[in-house]
Amino acid sequence: MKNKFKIDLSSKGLNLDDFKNHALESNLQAAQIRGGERVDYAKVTFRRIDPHWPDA
Amino acid sequence: MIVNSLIIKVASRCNLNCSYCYVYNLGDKTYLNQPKLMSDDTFIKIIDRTLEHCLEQNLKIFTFIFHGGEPMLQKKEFYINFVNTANTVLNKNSIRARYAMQTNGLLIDKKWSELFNNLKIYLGISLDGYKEINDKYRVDHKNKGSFDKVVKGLKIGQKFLKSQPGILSVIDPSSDPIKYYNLMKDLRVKNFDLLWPHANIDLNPEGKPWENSSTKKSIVYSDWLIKIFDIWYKEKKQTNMNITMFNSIIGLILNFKYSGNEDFGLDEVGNLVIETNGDIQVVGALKLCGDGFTVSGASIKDHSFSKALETKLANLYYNSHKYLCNKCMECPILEVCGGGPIYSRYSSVNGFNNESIYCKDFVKLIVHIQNTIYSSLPEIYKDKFESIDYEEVVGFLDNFDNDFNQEVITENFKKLTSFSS
Repeated sequence: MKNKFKIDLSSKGLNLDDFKNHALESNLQAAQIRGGERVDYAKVTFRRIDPHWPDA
Repeated sequence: MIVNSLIIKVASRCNLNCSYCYVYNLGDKTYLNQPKLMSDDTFIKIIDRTLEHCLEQNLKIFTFIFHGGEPMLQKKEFYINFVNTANTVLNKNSIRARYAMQTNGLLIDKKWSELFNNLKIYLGISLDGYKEINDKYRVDHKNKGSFDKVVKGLKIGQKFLKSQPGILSVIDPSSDPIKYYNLMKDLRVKNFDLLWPHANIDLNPEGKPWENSSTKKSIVYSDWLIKIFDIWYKEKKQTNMNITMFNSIIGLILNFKYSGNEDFGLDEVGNLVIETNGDIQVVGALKLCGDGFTVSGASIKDHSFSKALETKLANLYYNSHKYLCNKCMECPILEVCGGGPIYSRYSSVNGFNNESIYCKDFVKLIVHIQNTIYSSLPEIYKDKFESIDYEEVVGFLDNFDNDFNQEVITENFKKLTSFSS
């Protein structure tokens, strides 16, 4: 059961154009901006381990 | 072990007296022994320790979060001195500092906003929802609701701050979730987050024993959150609103790195709390476990961050999503849930060797989000992924043999139960 829970789009050769106007577009873009390394979406993160402040 | 942010209690007193506050109203009384305001000597030591840790761990970015009590009870000069000193010391070593503050918003005015702009301090404001709900809990010392004053502060902030303030709300499942969501829209809030009420296996969010076990097993929180998630997800493209909890869960489901936090995922939790007198502690929500529970004996004066992380509770907190009870370790959604926030797993009988009081809420919410994502994916991406059923996961958990593997006393088991009383 464990293996089927995650939806790893990168393993499917993700193409952002397929997500134009899709609810997930901003999440995917955020991940892509950081080269897939970091999802830089959240700004209200005071209790979070690695806050994603707007870069001042 | 890496600390990448500090929650700095610059003031130990507050101009509000929220009924659910873990600092003042849930049993811990250690604030009474704290100085009212942090001294310059203490903040200078914090910056020295931060530099020491960044060099030791080769960190290039470090985050300071000003917190309280109410951090705006501290003087403006304190912030000017702190930020200028930290920037000078850290930048010299190619380390960039980021600053944020979590405030109740009552004292925000144009002058404070200008100061935050100059010092590049990003602001989060606590507001629990519309007036009737917010004012049930977030009251002043005369028991008067704070909603009107907070909204006034928020609007001043929105007018003068360069970075728009975010909102942090504690979930109240008795409130109308759509009314809450619409309030955030009406207030033009672009970034907000929702906090699970501070509760554990023994104590409900009011700090009282749960009335019966069926209360504990209810899933009112996930039902409330799902109503917001559904409308938010549908409108996301138009509203451009970020809800941290949902974005985090989406990121974890889609396997993006760094989507985890102290609530969810399997990442380590790299933050420490510095009390007003310089004591080093872990997340304040653990104060709920008993008077003095978070006192570690470590102090900024005598201990590096690495040494502080070697104390028993700090080490457990850092590894919140690694040291879990057997049931969590075998759960099908472990990689996304990570057991939930550690304070919600405590009981005096078993220490932290429990699933969270919110376990089924987590399952229902996470499964719902996974299903929603799955069903909205373009067809070409669906191959090899499956939506998962809530009943299937809960069935697994309900039938889980809790004695599984307990013949072998694991390292986890020993660590978790050592906090029982």
